[in-house]
Amino acid sequence: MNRREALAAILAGAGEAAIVAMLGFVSRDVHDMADRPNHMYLLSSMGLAIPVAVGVALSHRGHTVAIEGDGSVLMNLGALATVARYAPPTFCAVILDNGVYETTGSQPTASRTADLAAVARGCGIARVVEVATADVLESAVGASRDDGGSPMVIVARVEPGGTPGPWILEPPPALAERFQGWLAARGVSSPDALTRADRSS
Amino acid sequence: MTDKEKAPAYAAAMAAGMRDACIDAVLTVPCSWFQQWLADHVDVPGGWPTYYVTREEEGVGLASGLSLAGRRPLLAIQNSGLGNSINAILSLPVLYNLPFIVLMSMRGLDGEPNPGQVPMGEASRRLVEEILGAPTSLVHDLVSARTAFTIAAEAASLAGRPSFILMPDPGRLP
Repeated sequence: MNRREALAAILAGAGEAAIVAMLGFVSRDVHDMADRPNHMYLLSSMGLAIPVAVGVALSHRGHTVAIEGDGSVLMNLGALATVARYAPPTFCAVILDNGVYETTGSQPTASRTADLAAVARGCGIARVVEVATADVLESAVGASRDDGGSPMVIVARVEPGGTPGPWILEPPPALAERFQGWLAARGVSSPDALTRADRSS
Repeated sequence: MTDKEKAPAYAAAMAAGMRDACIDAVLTVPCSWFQQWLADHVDVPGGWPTYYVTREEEGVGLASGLSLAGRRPLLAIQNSGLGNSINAILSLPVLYNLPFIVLMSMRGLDGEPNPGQVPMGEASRRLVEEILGAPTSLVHDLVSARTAFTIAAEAASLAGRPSFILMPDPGRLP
């Protein structure tokens, strides 16, 4: 599947989840395909889509999906350990693995030799799924909505290529404010509910 | 106050300040100066939900996510981690107007035994104030160890970006 097919599958499976999309072609495509208030687009901050999404999930407590790329995740592998340790069971990180830094000219990443699914399992994530087709990806993302007792990481093999959507022109504070409004309308958990579920202890 | 009394006294003052500022979560890559504060007041029943992150910039990401969700997190780091986090701070909470407090220990200044801390120690305040444009509060005694938190919270809210509390070695404070 190509990037847009994968993103369409993720959006279909995620539905009304809180979605944090990484920078570059991913955010641009999601914005172009289906811009909604439950989407938070990162315009920079490579490697931080998962941490931002974990922060949202710790309070939102509903279905939260981070969309990352292999190059971006490789920049911050420790985030997978944090997901395993603290993320709520309705958290899902989808890693679109195309083996290249596509936004900067498709230079090869280390995911050609580093098995990201194995890294996720090694970090303590019990629900790790590897997918290569859009229908299986959509099902997996949908399944992550259910409380399976632990967060999920999906590694999706994607073909590089495809013209990205246009640049996102909304001012970043406006993007954040819209996402905050969507979260607030759903109600955040009380401070007492912001407990630390430390699976490492 | 004896040196032995200082760490617990400052830790208690900081915890009181956090309650004054309605902090509701703590994210940290800890500094040894935070040891007593974390063990006695923060990461204890009745303290705060405490998340130990793997890198300071990861903590910036989590704090940004919590801030998006309407929370009031505190990110506690050593200044050596500030350098790791410059782009994370500028491209997330500064870019998107997300306020939260960063409590930062100021290693590498007078009396620092580790020469590896010195270059960052000398650069830290300039980085925070000139590069990040962040409001700062300096802890210089027991009173300011408490009041810094409400000052920082208000400053962050007004500025729409993180506000820093700079914490020297408690052993060198009055």
